[in-house]
This record gives sequence, structure tokens and C-alpha cells, in this order.
Amino acid sequence: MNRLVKTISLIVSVTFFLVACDDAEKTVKKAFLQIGEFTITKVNNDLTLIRDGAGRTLALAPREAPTPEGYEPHMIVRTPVKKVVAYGSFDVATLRVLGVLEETLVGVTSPKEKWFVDDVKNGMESGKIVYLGTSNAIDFERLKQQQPELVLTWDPSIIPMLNDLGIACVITSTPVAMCLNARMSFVKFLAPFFERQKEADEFFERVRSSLADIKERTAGMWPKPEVMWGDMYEKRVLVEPGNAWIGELIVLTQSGYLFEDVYGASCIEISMERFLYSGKDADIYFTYRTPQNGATSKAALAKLNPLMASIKPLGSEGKVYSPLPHYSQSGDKLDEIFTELSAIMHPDLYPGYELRYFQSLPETDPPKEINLHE
Amino acid sequence: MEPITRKNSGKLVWLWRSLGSVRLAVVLLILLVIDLSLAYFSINGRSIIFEPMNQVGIWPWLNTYAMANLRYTAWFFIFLVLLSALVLNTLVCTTDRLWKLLRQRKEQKSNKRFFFALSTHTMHLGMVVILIGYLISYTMSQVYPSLTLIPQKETIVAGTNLRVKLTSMTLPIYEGKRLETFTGMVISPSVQLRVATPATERTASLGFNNPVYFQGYTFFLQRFSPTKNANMSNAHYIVIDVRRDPGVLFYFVGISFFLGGLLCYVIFWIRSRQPRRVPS
Repeated sequence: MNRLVKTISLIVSVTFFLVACDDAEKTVKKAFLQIGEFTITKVNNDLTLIRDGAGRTLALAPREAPTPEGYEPHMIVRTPVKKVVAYGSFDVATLRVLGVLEETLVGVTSPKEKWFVDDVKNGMESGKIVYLGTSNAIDFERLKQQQPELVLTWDPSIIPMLNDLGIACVITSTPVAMCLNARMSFVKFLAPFFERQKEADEFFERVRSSLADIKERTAGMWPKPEVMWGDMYEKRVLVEPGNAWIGELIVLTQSGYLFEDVYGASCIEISMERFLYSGKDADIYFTYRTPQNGATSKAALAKLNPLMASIKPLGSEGKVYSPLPHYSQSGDKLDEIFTELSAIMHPDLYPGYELRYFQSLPETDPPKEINLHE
Repeated sequence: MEPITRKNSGKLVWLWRSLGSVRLAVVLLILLVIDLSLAYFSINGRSIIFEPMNQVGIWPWLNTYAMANLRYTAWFFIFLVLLSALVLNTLVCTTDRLWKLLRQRKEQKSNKRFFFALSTHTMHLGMVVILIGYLISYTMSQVYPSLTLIPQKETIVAGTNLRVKLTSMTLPIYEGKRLETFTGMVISPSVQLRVATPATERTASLGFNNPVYFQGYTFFLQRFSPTKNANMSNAHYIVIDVRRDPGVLFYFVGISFFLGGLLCYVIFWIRSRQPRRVPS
């Protein structure tokens, strides 16, 4: 009897502890949000602290709120931000999701001819958005003229210069690749800068439901296609690690990711032997190269790097996919990209699906037409 | 306040003895092993929840990261309780036995036995001091994280009167043949850092396992760029963390206690095993 009472009280205590944990988690999550290595802490209505990808803390305060104490001027961002410079195309896509691209973006680090986003192209044509030079040779004079209140970048080396100019800077990349949840939730990280939390939540919900659909469709699929994502260059072999959103998504679509055991930054370097060894088991291979960079056919890839010809997808049994040029600028269409990847893994589940972000490479390039009149 | 009667003092003695009992120590150690086994599964692949503790300190971390991820951090709350109990147990046990030892000191003729017994208590005290040092580090440290320095540009550490300058930076490429993976990579940069206050300054080498100490502050190299011969980014910079950690002194004192006790223990243990000389 005594033992029974003890057992019951133990079960009740554990249940109470778990329920209390769950409640506490929900309460804290309202004021504190962790998105991979980024965090948002709402201190009060006049102050929100954010931790960027480099681990720096910035203070966000509404324009009418008093200046937060204990922060250097370049660490304080007045919200909503009115002028922003963005280095990365994913940052630009996120601004688009939040509906602030047209009104706030004033500078980018890619020239007009490399953009596929209409809002950016139009902005550059009208002169509102300015090309500031390549990311490793920024024209700081031009940047200063644009008077941005915030710079979104992956390059920490510009921080000292921006500090001198009194411009706040947020590092939007992280030393370790973003996981799937962080990639989907990144929009929530930028939302407080522009006071657009509602738009961020709507986008997250859209992407979440597309994932739910993928999960439902692909449940129990067998056999699992084996996938590899990366590329061999002249001196280096780069792949997407298993902890990156790509690796996690592939596993979620009931497929095997051959670099699941690799951990680290996005585009991580691995040995050539490992790449070739995994390549023997792969059914599907995603190259980083776009058709403009030489990924026009399997034969073209094999010609670029003859060693790569030995991996299975480059043979007749496998498939090779190359991202189309606008893929990297389509971060605002994450739901469509996720669905497309799922359709590539399991074409039977998506009859009639037409690829929009990737292209399947033919065995060989089509023969060039010879103009006999020349 | 309730006066201390014989009945009450009996309870206090019982409580004191229970707190310092070896049985309690064994139970706590077993529970710690179980808790840390759970921790293995909780931490695995989730280092981003735990790493910020070093920068933000334990209380802010418990209020944010830990509370928002309770299913992965619950073990840490239990760990704190168990560790506190173990410290209390060690402290009570050591105090109790030291007191007895000191009282018996006058009756004891052998110094050897006294110091042998004392050495174990010194080690226990050392451990307690180290743990207190950790508590101080995680509660009272001032951390200025992720300060980016580019060559020849002075930067002020926000909230202090410290100025830091990266005076030189050379990036030796790995030329060995043993570690093929590191071919063409920089494993450890050679960095010269100048740190100054309005009154004084110091120039010193900074490395991953070679922090710079200055006026109670410690400068740690966190990362650097470029790391490769043919890197996509040619930007030259280092990222440092600056810390002011009052717990460090406690680590040194605790480690000194522990090493002193260990040395004493070994010496007297060896001497106790030597056969006694019988006077001829």
C-alpha cells in the first residue's frame, strides 16, 4: 500500500513537473525567441534586444521611445527601419516577404544585370537602389551617401568602418549552417526591425504547411533515393553539411542524405576522396553550378572535372540537377522550393510537376548548330 | 526566534550529521551520474542552446535559453541543485572532520598521521573553492563578445575605457604533409594586439590558446579571416571576446589547495609504506 502511494505520488510529481515545464516554456517563448544562433528578447515595449549571427547584441527601440542606456549609438536601431543596405540575396528576399523591400532597400552588392527580382531591378533603374560595389570592395563613400540606418551583411570585416560611420550592422550569417527551422524562421528575426511580425508569422505558417504536406505525401516512401549536394572545384570540394537546412529537408522527404554525418558551416570543405566515395552510392546529385557556370549537361560537368565522372549520378543510372540563376534570389518562395525538392526526390508523388528552380541535366549538350553560310 | 533547547540542538546535530554524511555523498554522486547521462542526450547536436551561457552569464541564460528549451535543459536545473547539495555536503563533512582533527591534534604525537588526514580535507576544500569560482565566473563576469578588429584600426571596447588595436597579422599557411586536410589553410594566425587605457598600454601576441591579460581583462581570439589560401573572402580581420572574470582567482586558489593536498597525500602515503627502522 505504502509503495503504491509512493508510486502514485511520483507519477503525479513527474506529470506536474512536465506540465509546469511546458507552461513555463510557452510563457518564456513570448518574450524570448531563439532562431538558430539568432535571438530576440523583448525587454519591454520600448526595448527589444537582438543577438545577431556573430553573437553581437543590438538594441531595437521605436523612434518615439527614449534612447536605451548602456549601448553605443551604432548598436541602437530605431524601428521601423526606413533605409537598409543588404549584402545577401536571402536578406533581400526576406525584405520582400516582409513587404518592405520597395520602400526600404537603398543598396546592394550585385549589379543590376545579376538581379532577377523585379522590385530590385526597378529600384536600381530609378536610382533608389544603388550598387555599392562587390562585397569585398565596397564603396563606403557611396554607402554613406545612401544614409542607411542598417546594413545586413555576412561580412564582419566592415563592422569597424560602419561603427565609424555610426551605421548599425547586423550579421545575418552564422558560423554553423542554418538548420531547417532557422531558415524558415529567419524572417521572424528581421521582422522586429521593420515592425512586420504579422507578415513574418504568415510566411512562416505558409512554409510550415508546405512542409506538413511534404511529410504527409512522402510518408513511408521506399526505396529512399540517396542524395548528394555540393561540387568539386579545381582545388576544393564543397558540400552542404547534414546540419544545414538542405540536409534536414532531404531527410524529411524520406530520402537519404549522403553527407548527413558532416557538421559545420554551409558550403563546408571536405576531402575529394569522401566526395567520390559517397558519389558511388548517390542516385541524385545537386551541383552548386548554374548552367551559366558550366553545368549544362552531365558530360560538361565531367569535362570540367574528369574525376567527378566516376560518381553514379553522372552515369546513365543517376540524375543531376543544377540550380537556375534565380534560385538563390527566391528565398521568399521557400514553400515552392521545398515542394520542388520533394518532387525531384519522388516524381511519382507529383505527376505533371514542372521544375521552376532547378533543371535536370541531359547526358550531353545538344549539338551546336553550324552555320554553313559563314 | 525560538531559543535553542536540548531538543532543538539534537535536531540540529542530526541535520548537521545528515548533511555531511558519506551516504548522502554517494547518493548525490549516483544522481549526478544519472543526470549527466541524460545531459549527454540533451546536449547532443544542440550546442547552440548551451554555448551562449559563456557570454550572457548563468542567470540571464536560465531565464531565456534554458526556460525556452526546458525539455533539453531540465537536466541542468537538476544538475545545479545536485551540485549545490554536493558542495554543501563536502563543506559540512570537511568542516566536521577538520574540527575533530584539530581537536585531536594535541593528543596526537605523529605529525605524519595528522598531515596525511589533513591532505584529503585540503583537496576537498580545493574542489569547493573551484566550484565557487565557477559560480562567480558565470554570475559576475563581464563579457564583451564578438569584437571585430581589422588591421591598424583602433576600436574602443564598449562600456570600458579600453582601446584595442590589431597592430599586425600574419597568416602562416600550413606546409606540413601529415595533415592533408589542412593543406593550404591557416591553422593559427600570428597576431599582435595593442591594448591600452588612458594611463597604460601593452602589446602582446594573441593566439587561440594564448589569451592576452591586461588590467584584469582577458582577450580571447575567437576566429579570424581569411582561413584559406584561396578563400572566397579576402577580408583580413579577427574576432575577439573580452572578459573580466573575477572567478579566475578562485580557480587558481582552489587548484593550489587541491595540488598541495594531493602532494601531501602522495608523500605521506609513500612514507607510510616504507618499513620502519628498528633500532639496533
